[in-house]
Amino acid sequence: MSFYLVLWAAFLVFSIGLFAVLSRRHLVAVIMGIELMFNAANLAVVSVAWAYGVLTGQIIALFAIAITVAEVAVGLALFLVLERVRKTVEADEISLMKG
Amino acid sequence: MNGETIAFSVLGLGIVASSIAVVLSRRLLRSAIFLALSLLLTALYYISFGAELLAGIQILLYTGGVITLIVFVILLTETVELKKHEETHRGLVPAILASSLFFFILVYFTWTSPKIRSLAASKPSSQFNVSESLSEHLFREWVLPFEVLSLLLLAAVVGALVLARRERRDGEGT
Repeated sequence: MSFYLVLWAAFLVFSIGLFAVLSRRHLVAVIMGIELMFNAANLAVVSVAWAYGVLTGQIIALFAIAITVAEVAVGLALFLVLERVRKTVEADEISLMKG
Repeated sequence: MNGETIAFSVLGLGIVASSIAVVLSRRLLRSAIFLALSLLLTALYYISFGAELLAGIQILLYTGGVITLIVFVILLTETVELKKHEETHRGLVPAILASSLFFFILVYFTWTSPKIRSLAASKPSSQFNVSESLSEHLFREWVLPFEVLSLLLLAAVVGALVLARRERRDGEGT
């Protein structure tokens, strides 16, 4: 039962992060929503690995954390460039590629 | 209803509540702090699974590194405001519909899947919490991904530096 609890908490946090990505207007808030989703995915992987009793899930989560941190650094750098060049912090304002 | 279930549900409630606070708070700094709280509580989950190394790395990298970066960027760009000041969200109804639909699909498939049901019924084995065998795994079978990951991190650091560097020639904003 406690396994289902952890798994569903992870799913709920993932959905909350998805909601943030879909609805927040500030780009940094969108990045924070992506963080929530990454974290929830890690939590789900680790809880399944814990139920199976295998170590591979922990290693996958370690790699995922490292990749996430790199991704956030690049994403925030992109955000800084956007803020400097286009003077905006809103996700809707980035419409250069819109046909 | 044993102690483990109670502890796990309290932790889960804390994580979900702080995640909702991340999404709903109007000030970005406040959401960053709630994000840190949510990540810390996740580290507590990892500790209760017996994955202490993972919990330590979660605290170091996530609540240490990522939150610092996010707070730094928020403080750097504080002068640029949203155009419509009071509106921090847009398209609330479709976003709520999409994310709750996603949640219910996930819950439905995990609840009906017989494999996951048998997993939940079985007792978790205790060999999960051995940091020594974790390092054995990591440096024997997973050495190649480990090294590739170091390359990726190097590329990300160089890329972030190049992107965030201020051009000398363009004159504005010294």
